[in-house]
Amino acid sequence: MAKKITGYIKLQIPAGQANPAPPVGPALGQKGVNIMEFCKQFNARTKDQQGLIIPVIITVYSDKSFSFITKTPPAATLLLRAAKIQKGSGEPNRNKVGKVTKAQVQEIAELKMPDLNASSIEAAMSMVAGTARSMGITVEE
Amino acid sequence: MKRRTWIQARLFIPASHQDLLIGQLASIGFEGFLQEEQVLDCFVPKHLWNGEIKKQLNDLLLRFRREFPIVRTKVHLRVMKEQNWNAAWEKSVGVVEVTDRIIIKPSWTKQRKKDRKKIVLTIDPKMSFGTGHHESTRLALLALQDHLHPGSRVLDFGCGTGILALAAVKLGASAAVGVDNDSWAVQNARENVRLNHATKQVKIVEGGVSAIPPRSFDLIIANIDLPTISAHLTRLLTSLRFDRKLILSGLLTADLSTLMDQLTHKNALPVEVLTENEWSALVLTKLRAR
Repeated sequence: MAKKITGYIKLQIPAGQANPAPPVGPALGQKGVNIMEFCKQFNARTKDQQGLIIPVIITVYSDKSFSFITKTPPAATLLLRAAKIQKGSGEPNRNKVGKVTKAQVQEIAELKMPDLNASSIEAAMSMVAGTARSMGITVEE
Repeated sequence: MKRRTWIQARLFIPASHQDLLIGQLASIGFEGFLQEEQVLDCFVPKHLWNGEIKKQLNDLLLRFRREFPIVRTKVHLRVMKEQNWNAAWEKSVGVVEVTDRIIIKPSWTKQRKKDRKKIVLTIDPKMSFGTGHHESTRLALLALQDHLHPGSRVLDFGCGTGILALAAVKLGASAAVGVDNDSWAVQNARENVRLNHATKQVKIVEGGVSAIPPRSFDLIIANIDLPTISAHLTRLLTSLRFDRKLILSGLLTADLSTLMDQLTHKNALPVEVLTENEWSALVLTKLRAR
């Protein structure tokens, strides 16, 4: 028989580094899930992506057991990586800190479409391009 | 013990736009995020919450709002103090028969009559790892009961609750040292050592490899993860006597070959692999120098 789902927890945390600090401890603890067991499994599964923030969706069942899926890193992280920079600009209008191609924006938009609730690829691309602009990253045609 | 403290910054951003902002929040110092339908909670250790990050957060929200007016720039702050967040789960913990010989129970349950002839360990897990509920702990205990010789001196590297060090002395080791770099684990392991009346035989030390006592051990056990084990394998072998066993757990079966590859240049021979579900433990013997 399928187990009854009692809730979902959506987190974004550093790969391979999960520990009981917030948000993991309070969010999972509140639902009665064994925090340390989640940390062990998450860290084992994401150890090859150290240094990146990883979105994870945890499904909690009525018997306090859980399962989880991990997703691709957040859009801004992918943009920073595509532009080969560490950080966005403090003055994005005046001070441009990097460039990405339209193809790269499309690639990120396709990857992140499910998380952006965008109705079309164009809508998702415009959200990713807007994010790039707010970070001082120029999108080249 | 000084409790750690975090700042929770609650941002009012619809779920559809959260992912766009999270990568930038991470780049200015936030370490973790909890996503809900209309709010995004961002966490940073309190000692890192300074004027610089406050200004960067403020600027970031203003810039983001220029592109996405749906986003509000209001921030609600809350201070969060460390506590035993695992308390709700702990209540559901009962007696676990980990192996044919070892039973784990929390301090708030009584020993069962039928367990009289078994080794019963009292472990209150709190927020440390090692409760007997996870495959990696079970595999480590199975390997320990097969490979431990009476009178041995044992090192438990990454001891968590202290479960493996305690099991070692109950299985006949003369002494065990547990080492962990997490202050929660160290405090919790010491409590568990007291609960099991083992303060004379089990010592818990806080720190990493540099905290390992400078003596040779008859058996070393480490239930951690592949990156940590890989990084410290040579150091662990250095602390082990020749012909004695190193038990490694916390490994995904899919990662075993990665670890085996590293062994080709080390003086260690794999002698046993134990597997349950997707997890494996590996037992090695330290060879004499060739």
